[in-house]
Amino acid sequence: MANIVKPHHCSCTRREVLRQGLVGLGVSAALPTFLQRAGAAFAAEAIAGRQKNDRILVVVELTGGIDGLSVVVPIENDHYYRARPTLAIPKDDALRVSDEFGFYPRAAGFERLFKDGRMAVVHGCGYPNSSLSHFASMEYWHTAVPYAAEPRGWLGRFADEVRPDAPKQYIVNVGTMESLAVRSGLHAPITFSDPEKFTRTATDAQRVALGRMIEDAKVANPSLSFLNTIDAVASESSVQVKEACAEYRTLVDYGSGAGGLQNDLKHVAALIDGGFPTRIYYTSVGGWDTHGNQALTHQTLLMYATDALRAFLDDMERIGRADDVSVMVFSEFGRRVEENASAGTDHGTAGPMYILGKHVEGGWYGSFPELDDLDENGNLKVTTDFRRVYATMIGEWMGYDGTDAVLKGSFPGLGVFARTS
Amino acid sequence: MPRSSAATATPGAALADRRRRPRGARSRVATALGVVLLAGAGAAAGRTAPSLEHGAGPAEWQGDLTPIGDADWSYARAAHLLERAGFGGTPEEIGRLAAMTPAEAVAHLVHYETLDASVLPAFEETGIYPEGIEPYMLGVREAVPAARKNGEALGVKVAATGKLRFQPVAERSYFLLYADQREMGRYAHWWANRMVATPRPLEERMTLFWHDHFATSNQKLRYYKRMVRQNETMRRMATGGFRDLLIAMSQDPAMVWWLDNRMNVKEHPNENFAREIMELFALGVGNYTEKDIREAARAFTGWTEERLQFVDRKEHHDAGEKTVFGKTGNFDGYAVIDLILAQEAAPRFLAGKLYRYFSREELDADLHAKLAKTLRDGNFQLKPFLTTLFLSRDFYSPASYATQIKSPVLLAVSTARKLGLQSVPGAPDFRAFCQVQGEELFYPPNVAGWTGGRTWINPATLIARANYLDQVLFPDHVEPPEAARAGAMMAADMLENAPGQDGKGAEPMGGASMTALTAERTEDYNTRSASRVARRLAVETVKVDRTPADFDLSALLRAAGVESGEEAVDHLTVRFLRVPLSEKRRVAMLDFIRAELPGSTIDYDAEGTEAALRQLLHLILSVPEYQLS
Repeated sequence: MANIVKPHHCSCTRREVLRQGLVGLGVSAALPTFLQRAGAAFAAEAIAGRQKNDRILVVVELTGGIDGLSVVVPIENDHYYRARPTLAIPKDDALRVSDEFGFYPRAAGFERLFKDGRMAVVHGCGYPNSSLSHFASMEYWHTAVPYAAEPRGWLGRFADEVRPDAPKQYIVNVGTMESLAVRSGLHAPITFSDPEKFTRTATDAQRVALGRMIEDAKVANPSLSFLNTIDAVASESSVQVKEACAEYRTLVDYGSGAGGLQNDLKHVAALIDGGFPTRIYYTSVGGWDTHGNQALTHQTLLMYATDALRAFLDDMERIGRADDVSVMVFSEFGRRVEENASAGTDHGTAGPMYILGKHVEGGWYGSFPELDDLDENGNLKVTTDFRRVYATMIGEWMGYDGTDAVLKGSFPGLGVFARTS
Repeated sequence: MPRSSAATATPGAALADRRRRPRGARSRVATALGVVLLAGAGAAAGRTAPSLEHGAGPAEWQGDLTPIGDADWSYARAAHLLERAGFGGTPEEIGRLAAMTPAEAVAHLVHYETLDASVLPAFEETGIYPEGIEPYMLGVREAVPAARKNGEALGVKVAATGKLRFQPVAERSYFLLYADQREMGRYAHWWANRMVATPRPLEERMTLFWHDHFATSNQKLRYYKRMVRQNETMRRMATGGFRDLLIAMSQDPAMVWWLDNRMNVKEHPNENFAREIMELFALGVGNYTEKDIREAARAFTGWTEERLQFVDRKEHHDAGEKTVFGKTGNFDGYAVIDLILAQEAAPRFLAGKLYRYFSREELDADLHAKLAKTLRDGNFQLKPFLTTLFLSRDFYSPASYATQIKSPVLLAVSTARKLGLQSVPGAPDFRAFCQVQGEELFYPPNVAGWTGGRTWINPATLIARANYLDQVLFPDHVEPPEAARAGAMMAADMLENAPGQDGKGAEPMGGASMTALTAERTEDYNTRSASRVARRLAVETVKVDRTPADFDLSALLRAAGVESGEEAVDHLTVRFLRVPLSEKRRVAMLDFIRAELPGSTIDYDAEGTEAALRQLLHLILSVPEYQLS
């Protein structure tokens, strides 16, 4: 197996260059175990796959349209203080991380990650002619093709391109419903919310019978083939998921609170630690649609979410997988610059995205939208197409060179992983 | 050797298939049931006995709208028809259709007005809205300011001074919110029960189609009576003419609120309804311009509602000239609907949607054109169109036969029908099941309705479906009501905090229960405590049916002449599935039942027999084949 990862056994492909680059770029401490694990994946990939490395992408959706100006606070911007008479954070209360910006109070997880250089903030992300509907806009973020009724999600298309052999468990979606983002033509994502409930009720004898009823062969009826595939994934995964989550123990404190992101991310950590071959994890946390009395709600949710994200990355460090995992955080839109009459904010357009991980070149990307140059609805003008961030994740991070085909357009990466890819 | 489950697509394969099995079992079952059904059935006798043979027709039938011949009719095809045009049924019901000619069977389903539905129970309202108050008031943030201004709101008077003086108003507001949601759930259950018990399954199936087509959600309306009224209108007009229905929906009180036409007035036109009637109800994207929408919106100005009745407010109507689809005139809503239906895209849009709903997802251009022509030539009348569809060879071709995936509601309803129940069980909780599976009646996810098809299925929903069916068969596996109630409260929390300001209506955002976080603690009232008090009162006031299924599987099998475990497997397969079990699955079931019920014949009086048979049935309902319709 080891010979598979020796460069001289390959013809000179981009994959080989990448791998050499990896060896030569100072991650050698992590290499032995990394390559051991990578061996199996590379073996499969040599046959069918096109992912150039063994990395894992975790995508976190902040459902409801988070107020970006209340995450990355422009503490020197007079327009901000004028537009937000009741909601603006006084300069001294913000968790200052640069001359211009501070994080919202209690977003201590982000503050820590940023100061550690484990966090990239991408300003002004969105797309042209933003929709202000949660539903429509979220669909566009999920498919990465605005206004096009694209049936598959961007991560689903990525998986289809990279692994057309559709190995089981390539995608895990922690949530009650499968996100459109991971909807794929070939893969059957494992979708679950509560690992305890992700189990069939059955007697022992029924369980034995069910175990003998898994059908893998394709049949003439395409719907039955599809159902058989999902059934096989469900049967094979449910016990593994349940056990991996039940057995997982960590001393890292993921925090508590509404939303459940801490549990979802702990489940992701459990599956990664449990040796799942998954390369794409997807989860979401809602509550950000803060039309009224925003301050306390937003602050509390942000504290929970950023604490959980920091804990997750610390946990990856603890189990020795920090080199393999990066996280991308997004929301379907930002919120109106001007606060409304209910001490809240209404649906807006551009917002920051966040990329987290050990290999991230920490800092600021993209340009901060002008707060005094708004569109006709009083919303921010987009400065970074969100698909550039997607391209960064699947291109620079996951080492895939077909981002144009997946994203249905040319979107250059941002150089966030320039050091390692 | 693994074999295709769809091998019975050809009769030859089906025969070869049967040869591999132990002799006799299936045909004996078939005969036992057949004897009852065949009394007076006449010549086509052999084809009316319960069987999965002669299911999908030949591949050449695909795309062919020619009616199938009498000689092509079979039990399996009658069962297919009843699955799609209704919700499936017992072998007796299917046998009755199989004993008719195909034309008679389709007419029986389509021209259902002669069948008496008056015996079906009417919905009994709990009566949560006090007399004389305007029920529509969006939550505590409107009710309290109104009470502050008027000294009363929602029928509750406010004390002049004092601490927490608005608390009764806040409590009433939350109570109505929670109680309305629970009452909507009761009506959804009543509807599902009607789907089970009705002698007119197509009437309910088409009502369900229209609910998806004109997808209106009580999430935004928060007033179940408007939804009930819309449901009644859809049922009354389910298979009439599309023009009449389009007019009725344009004037429907729920729709007027859902797509904001009540706010569409001369001075401030609101385009929401005009956009969706073109995009989602009648034409589809790309068949109109933004200008058509703007002009059409002006034509619909003034159409609103009052106390559940349509009102045409002339003073708000824009009587000026409009230009829609290149035609200019002083159009009103009726005129615009006629202009829409005159578009080439209109028959294509509806014909395609009906076809995808009843037949299959894929529709080639040639067949699509023929279907559109059929609908247009029939002047958008639904009965002739549906008759053509249900009689067509295409409907019974391998591409259409048993290739649909049941929606959660169809799964629950058809299971009840096939078990011979008269209602959908109240335990396990029908509404909770539909919520988890993503098809809560009267709460479609958005204005475009349910995506359906394969999106119903993922590993978690597939397991949850099997676990739901386990609880139908074993009501003692149902979680204690406390847990179920906690789930409902979470849902209530989400509703309470869902956004209501979006033009498309509130969309479920999922995630956190925000009540605790958004609680306002003012001198006047406390939302957290009001919410808690109101919730308890709503649960006590609006009683939800929690009756488990009552059936006797042993008696059912005994009556069918089932004597052995193998016969039980085969009988239940034919009764519940539309395609044969794969050999591997059948063998696993045979081994299961032989181990559970040793001996060559079933001792129906022995302790444990009923439980073992139910476990066997649960295995059959757990296989992927059971998700197919």
